[in-house]
Amino acid sequence: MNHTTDPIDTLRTHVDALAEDGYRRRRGTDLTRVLASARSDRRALPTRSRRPVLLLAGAAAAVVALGAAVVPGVVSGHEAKPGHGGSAPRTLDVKTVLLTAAETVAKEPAAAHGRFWYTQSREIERARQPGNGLKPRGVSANGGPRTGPYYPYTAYVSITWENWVPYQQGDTSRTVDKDITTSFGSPADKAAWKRAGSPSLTDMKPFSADSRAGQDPFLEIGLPKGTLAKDLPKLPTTPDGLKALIQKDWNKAPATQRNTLSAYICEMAQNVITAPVTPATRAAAYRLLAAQPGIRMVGKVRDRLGRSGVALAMRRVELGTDRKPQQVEVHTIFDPKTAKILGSETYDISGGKVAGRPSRISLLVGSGWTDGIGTPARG
Amino acid sequence: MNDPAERFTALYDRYYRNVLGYVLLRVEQGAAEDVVSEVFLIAWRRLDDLPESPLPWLLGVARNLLFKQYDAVRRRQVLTDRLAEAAGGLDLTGLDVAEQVVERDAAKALLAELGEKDVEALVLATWYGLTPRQAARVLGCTAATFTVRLHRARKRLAKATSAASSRSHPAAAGRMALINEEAR
Repeated sequence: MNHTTDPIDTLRTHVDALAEDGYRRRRGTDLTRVLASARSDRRALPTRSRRPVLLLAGAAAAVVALGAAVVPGVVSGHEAKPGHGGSAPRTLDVKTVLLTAAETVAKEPAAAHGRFWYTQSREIERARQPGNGLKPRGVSANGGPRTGPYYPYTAYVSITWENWVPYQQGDTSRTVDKDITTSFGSPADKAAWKRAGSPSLTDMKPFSADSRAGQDPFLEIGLPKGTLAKDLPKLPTTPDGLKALIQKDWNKAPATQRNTLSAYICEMAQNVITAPVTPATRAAAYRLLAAQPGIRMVGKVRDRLGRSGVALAMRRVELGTDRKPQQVEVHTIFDPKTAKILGSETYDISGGKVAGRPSRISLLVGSGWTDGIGTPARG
Repeated sequence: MNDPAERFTALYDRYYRNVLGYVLLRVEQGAAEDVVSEVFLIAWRRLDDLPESPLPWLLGVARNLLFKQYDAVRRRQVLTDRLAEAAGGLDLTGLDVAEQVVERDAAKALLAELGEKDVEALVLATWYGLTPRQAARVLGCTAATFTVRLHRARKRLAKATSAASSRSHPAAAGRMALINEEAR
């Protein structure tokens, strides 16, 4: 008996049989499904898993990583109106709008920092069914977003987030989750939910916690790990400088994990715009955004807080709370008068078609420096 | 063959089993098939941009989806199960029952000594015949890193194989004796 069995060969024989089985079983349905889907959204690259946004301490950081964001009971309990408020005059063009925004922010005075960077936002997310027991990593004690498929009717869960992130390392940070409400896409959706026995739509609970993390990296965009609040004024002030920084970060992701560079720049540039950077850096981010191809003008809209702005659409791949990559069209809304980003609406794309209703809405309610923890900043 | 549907079907028929085989090392059959469906959906959307030898690209997309959707504990468990199943399914016809038991135990022990990364490196190089550069693309590392990984995996495999075969003979004899005695 001298089988010098090569285990890798053994394994191959076994796996090949299983693969052959799978091939026979799946070929028909796979080909039908794929060939029936449009090829128009060819940019559907798998995205990278890290989502560099404002990295906040504690529970909030966990939720940020899961792709959630912020704001108070504005869609309180009732119908979130689908669609965008106003209609779009076609004369607006993407480049002009963004370059004008760059000029606007460049003129702003540089703000002196306070003790805490405060943000408040309201996140409205399409309700999902409970997941299959696999908890997403880093779910906080206040219950996390669910990981199952969407409910068959359109329901939303809204939550308000407040964060105080200290300027000084080692100072206390605070995160608050509050005003959790639910709403429906339409009265028919609400009726469908009632017929289904009015199941609970979320596991999230109100929450507040203070923490003292040793290292609170404030913002990461390819900056050396652990970039702190005090490093933000040193960010590049030209579009090329900013692009180089973002591209360096993008290059670190394995080729197979990339969104397109342009999609990644669009995402990162917006993170820069909403962060406490200098006016020159913020202007550079707007200019960099203006140079990206594939941004579509949606037009004048009114957001879910009734604020009017202009929406621009960009496509990318995101990870949903179900941890599956999903191609999406993100409508970023900003106020052309102040050049402030008001929030964004995310529409799933499936089979090449953009969904009629958003799967997620982020409303940035306010942000600014403040000296008191628990005291919101004005602005 | 310029029709996209035809090109895609050819791609699917040629590589589906390869990609599924790779994914089956990490997740259960049903889940693995879902992952591969997703891989080919992405390939369809990117059909015009596929590299000339698309297999490394397909495997890279698959690996990326796997790592996003399934945690490390689950992936390792499936790999361990697969190795055990493979050892259990060895074609040992011609051997008697006791010899089969021994051979299977030896195979299991041997496989257990190989880590997840070893198996991955060996599979990419020997099943798919990928060059270090192609394999590195799948794994998102450099070709040099992959070469080192493969070299180490081969060394561990050789060591484990020789240890297993030297173990198996005396063990087989002892076991046989015991069984014969019981039969008496």
